[in-house]
Amino acid sequence: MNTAIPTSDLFWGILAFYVFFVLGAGLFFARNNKSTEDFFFGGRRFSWWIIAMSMLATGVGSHSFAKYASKGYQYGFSSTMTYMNDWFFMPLLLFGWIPIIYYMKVNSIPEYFERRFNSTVRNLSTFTMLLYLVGYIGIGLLALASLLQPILGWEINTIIIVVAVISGLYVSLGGQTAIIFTDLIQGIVLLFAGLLLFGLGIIYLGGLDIFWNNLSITNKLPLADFNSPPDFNFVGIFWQDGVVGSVGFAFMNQAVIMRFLAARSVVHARRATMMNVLVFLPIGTLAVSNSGWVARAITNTSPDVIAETANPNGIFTIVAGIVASSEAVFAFLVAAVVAALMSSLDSQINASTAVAVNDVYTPLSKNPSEKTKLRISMFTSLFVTFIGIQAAFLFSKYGTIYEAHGAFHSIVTPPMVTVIFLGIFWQRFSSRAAILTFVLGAIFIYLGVLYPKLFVQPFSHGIEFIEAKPWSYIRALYNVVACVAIGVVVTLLTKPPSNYDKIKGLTLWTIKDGPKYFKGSEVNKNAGITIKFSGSEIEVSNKEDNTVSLPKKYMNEIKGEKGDLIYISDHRWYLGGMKSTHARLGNISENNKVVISQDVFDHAQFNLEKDIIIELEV
Amino acid sequence: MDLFSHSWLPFLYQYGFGLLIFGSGLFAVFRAYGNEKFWQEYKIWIQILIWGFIYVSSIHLFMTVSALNDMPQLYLVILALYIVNVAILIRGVR
Repeated sequence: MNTAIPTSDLFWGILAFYVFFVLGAGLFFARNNKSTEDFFFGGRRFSWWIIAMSMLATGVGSHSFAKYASKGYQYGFSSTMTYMNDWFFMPLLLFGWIPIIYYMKVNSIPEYFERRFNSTVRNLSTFTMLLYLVGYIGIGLLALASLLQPILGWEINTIIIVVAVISGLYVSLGGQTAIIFTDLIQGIVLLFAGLLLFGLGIIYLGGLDIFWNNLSITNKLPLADFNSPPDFNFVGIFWQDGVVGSVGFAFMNQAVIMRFLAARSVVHARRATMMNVLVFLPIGTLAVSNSGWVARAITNTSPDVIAETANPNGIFTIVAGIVASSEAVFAFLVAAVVAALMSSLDSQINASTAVAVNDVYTPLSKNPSEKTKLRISMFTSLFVTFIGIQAAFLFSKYGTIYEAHGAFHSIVTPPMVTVIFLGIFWQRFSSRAAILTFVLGAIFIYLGVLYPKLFVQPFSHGIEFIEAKPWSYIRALYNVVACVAIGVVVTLLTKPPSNYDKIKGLTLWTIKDGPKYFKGSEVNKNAGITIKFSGSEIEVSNKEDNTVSLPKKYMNEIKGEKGDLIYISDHRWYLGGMKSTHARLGNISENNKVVISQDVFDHAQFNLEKDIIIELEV
Repeated sequence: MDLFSHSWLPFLYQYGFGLLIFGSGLFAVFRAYGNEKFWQEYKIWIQILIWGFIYVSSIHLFMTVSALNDMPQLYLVILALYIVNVAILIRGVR
């Protein structure tokens, strides 16, 4: 084995212990998966802070350590210039998209398309979505392999295969609950490790003033130069990563959608999103990029320590090896990043599986049992991992991970993003327009690839033309404009639908119908009232009808009616919803006990020595 | 060295388009939920949304001023802004 950074058994021992500990903890929490709803959505019961941390681990872990650190090394602080652009889309996300998918019980984007448009649009979007997710898996595998290569010294393709096998097996066993709890641990460790590395880097350099003084003014500016160089310019990356990438990640990334759906309510999904973007992401930005900045300062002061020609993709590992005060610290830093990348990978694999099972297998098979679907889900996890390996091999030939990801995103995402946006915000946007946006959009995108000077140049903002990779970022703007123009023109040229009953709850303008659909009857105006009682008051019945019957005093207190939706949970907030479930109110109990059906008890796994809370929903 | 194309031009472009996207989204949501009702029901959320935009743009603003004028101490202002932000959000989401 030809290793670039020497390591001992202690290093490998710590790395193995950490990875097995994190993965084992996830599997422990996932041992009660009983259905595909548990496997994919964790039973829709988690509190906002767990979901927020999981979102962070999914977002930050996804190739960011390799991608942003490499550009941080080459260009400084501007490496993460689009990291917080997500906020521009928050009004539409928090009050448009999240309530639509949550209340309408949309399990995947293709499913949304079938209900909003028709089955043809669903098939087109399934294909695009799987392409998008498998691409994400490929980028994640490549990023992880690039970070490990300076230590292992193996061929990059060998590392990709080893990492993929471990991730695929893990997801196929644990599902969403395992992922969410793994993410929680990794999210915390990830932030700590990132900040620790920054601290160690500053100590290595000799202080903050030396770090600051050894970066140029352009290194310290938060945004890149407007239109140069071609491989890292502001305007191209704004449209590719800041707009198309942000919308793609928040609105169409199945892994993120599944985080929203795993929340215990719409309010918790909103809180999680808000806290993730405004509180966790700024620290995440620092965590993923600072190794590149520290490396830049080291190169500027001591080019013999890190040469100007160092491989930017592996810069995190190189810097960690230099600034870590001991091998144990180095092992911890590497383990944290490995775990972060694995958390992203497992999310994407699980998400791809959800799409494959919900949108390909289920429509083709005739009423498969839950057990069959669960088994198919596990095998599909392994299959999409295999396809992800092929994508990683393809991306490894492209150049830097940043550019490979940018080019991939700017081509695959625009048609889907356009159809989602027009579908949500324009009731008149028709099925025919959606189909033509996909089909003609793909044709125009392809024409842009074939004849960039004819199609993409008008949008180039003066960015230099490079023959090998012509306008790889700014072409996202051309692609979006082409898709939007097709969608708008076709809609205006076709007859508007005669009524909008079919799309109740599925657009921003019909969103008020969502809660009623979710509940299955009129909403209860008293939603939100919470009661608390001792677990010793509970009696478990042998029924399996997902009901909770309350004594009259509690029924009056909560102001509920038979059939109302409730959220029943252990009162300890720090469990984050792990011991909780959703149920319906049954008849008033006659023995002054809180009678819960056997399936409610099995799902929630209550400790009857602890207090329990019930919240009236919707 | 003229750094306008590396500092204020991208800043204005980003937050110009950003304001357009953010403002259009907020306007659409107000219309969809019913203006008065939306304000009454989600007042705290609307305030947080607007605060978030100011907060995110302020970080880039202070970083730009800091780099151009060699004032690393402005990062203390960013840190203070972050702490205020955490306090506002924790209070807001309770």
